[in-house]
Amino acid sequence: MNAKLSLQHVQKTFTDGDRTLTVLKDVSFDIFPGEFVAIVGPSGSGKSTMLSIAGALLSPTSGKLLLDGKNIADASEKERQLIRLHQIGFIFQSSHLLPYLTVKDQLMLMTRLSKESKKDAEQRAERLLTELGLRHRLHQYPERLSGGERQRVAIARAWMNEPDLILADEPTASLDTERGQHVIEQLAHQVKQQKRAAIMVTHDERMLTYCDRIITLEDGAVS
Amino acid sequence: MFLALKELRYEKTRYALVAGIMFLISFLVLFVSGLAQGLAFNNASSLETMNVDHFVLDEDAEHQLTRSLVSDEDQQVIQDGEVEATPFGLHMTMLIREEASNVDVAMMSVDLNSPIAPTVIEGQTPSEGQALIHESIQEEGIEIGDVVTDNASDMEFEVSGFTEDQTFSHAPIMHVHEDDWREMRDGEFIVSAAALHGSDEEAAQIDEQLADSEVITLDEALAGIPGYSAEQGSLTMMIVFLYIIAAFVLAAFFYVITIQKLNQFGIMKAIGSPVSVLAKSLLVQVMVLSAVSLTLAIVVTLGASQIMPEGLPFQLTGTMVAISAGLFFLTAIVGSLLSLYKVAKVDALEAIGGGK
Repeated sequence: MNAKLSLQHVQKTFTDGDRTLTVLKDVSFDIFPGEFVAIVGPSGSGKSTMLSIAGALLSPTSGKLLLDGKNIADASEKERQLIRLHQIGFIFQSSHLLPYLTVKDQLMLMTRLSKESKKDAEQRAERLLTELGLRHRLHQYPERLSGGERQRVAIARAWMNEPDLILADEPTASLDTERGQHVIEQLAHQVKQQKRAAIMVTHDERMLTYCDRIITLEDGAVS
Repeated sequence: MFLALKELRYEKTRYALVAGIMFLISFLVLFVSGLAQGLAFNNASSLETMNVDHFVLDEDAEHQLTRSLVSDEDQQVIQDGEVEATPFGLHMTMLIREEASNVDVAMMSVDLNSPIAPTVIEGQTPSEGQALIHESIQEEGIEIGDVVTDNASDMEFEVSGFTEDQTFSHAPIMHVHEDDWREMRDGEFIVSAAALHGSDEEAAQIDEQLADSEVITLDEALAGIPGYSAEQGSLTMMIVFLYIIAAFVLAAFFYVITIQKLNQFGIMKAIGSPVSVLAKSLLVQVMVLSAVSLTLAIVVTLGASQIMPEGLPFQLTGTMVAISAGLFFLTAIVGSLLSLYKVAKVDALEAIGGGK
């Protein structure tokens, strides 16, 4: 089976004045379809940088980054934007929903950005939100939603364009344990059901039980 | 459109405030423009309604019609020329009245069958000893049949009728019969200037043949009226400054709003939105706000012009409204450039707090 995402000897350095900072030294791992992988590690270990590279937000300094078998390490800004739009779903620490869009419109926005047909999208949006238990919230603005509900909307938004890869950066940071577990349970369920790949950066060890595999980053390298 | 309109609807108060400011500024722009145009017309409606582009004036008159005296020689040149021309006499004077204040008028004599003859709206054209005056003289209590005395010549005139759009240097024009004009100057018809009914080329041709006179344009003749340039200059400066202020105010407003939303723009970029969508959304918002506030300003200005007191010179043509609206749109877009730049530069990584 081919890996959905494959990092091969990825290195990332930043220049800070005269100093060169190596955040990722040599990171290699594969994520397969249907796999839900957790990335753990102390702060400063390079988790967020790794996630940004996997999410086509940053280009690696060297190494290969294969998404669905295609190397995107040297993709242009425009190409990376299209990859983010069509192949990657992001879930952030806080939900980062647009305050002026209703729950359903948050999802429809993704469709509009990718210029898909509206009719199929409406059905998919309603189905996703129903699965995540948000059917009754379709036409409400984020300010009326609880933290857990908002994060579930963010998950639905990440799924909306049927991406190959879901990237979640501490998605439970702003939730209490019970809500956090509920949200991750649903995320894990979706990954299995639709044979997608997902990476979650987390500090919360209670969430690890839902993951298939744990990758530990330390000082910019997989340990 | 989707994002722009949804946001405008959601953040009603915030954008209503911006639209409110834009409305006030554009209202002021339209109002001052109307006033400038109205004053210009009130100042010299006689020249503007003549429908000619060129005048022959004495070279030494410094473009001032009332100071000009066209020599006999040059009058002959104009008469012999191929271009149709209407000579006329013009000077400023004052009407003396017993038991009432004196009134400034511009006295004019022109062939009343010529193309630049005034339109009589009440009464009739003057015969010898009579005068046809601009309707605004009625505000001074002068009626048809009244007898007025010219201060300069001590001659008496009976008011025969009223004209419209016949003012010069903010004073009503008093048209007198050619014979009276001659009598004032010992039998000679003094020609102050001549209106040329011809093209630019024809006017230039005449200009070459003139000895002591020159051909000037309508704009030059208008600028030559004492006070005209100063009046228009200060109003024009106000209008120009209003546009500049509008650009700055809008720039500041949109910049603050954009800064507040940088995080949102960053998130949008992170989830794959192209910059063009974000930029378009901002521009659509600027356009919609401009259109709404401009429409409101135009309606209010036109409404206000209906209830303005009669004496207030205010004139707003469709062309003027269109030009002002176009300029205001342009100003709004210029004002949003800084924000557009900021949007284009947003770093998705900073917004999601990752990367470094």
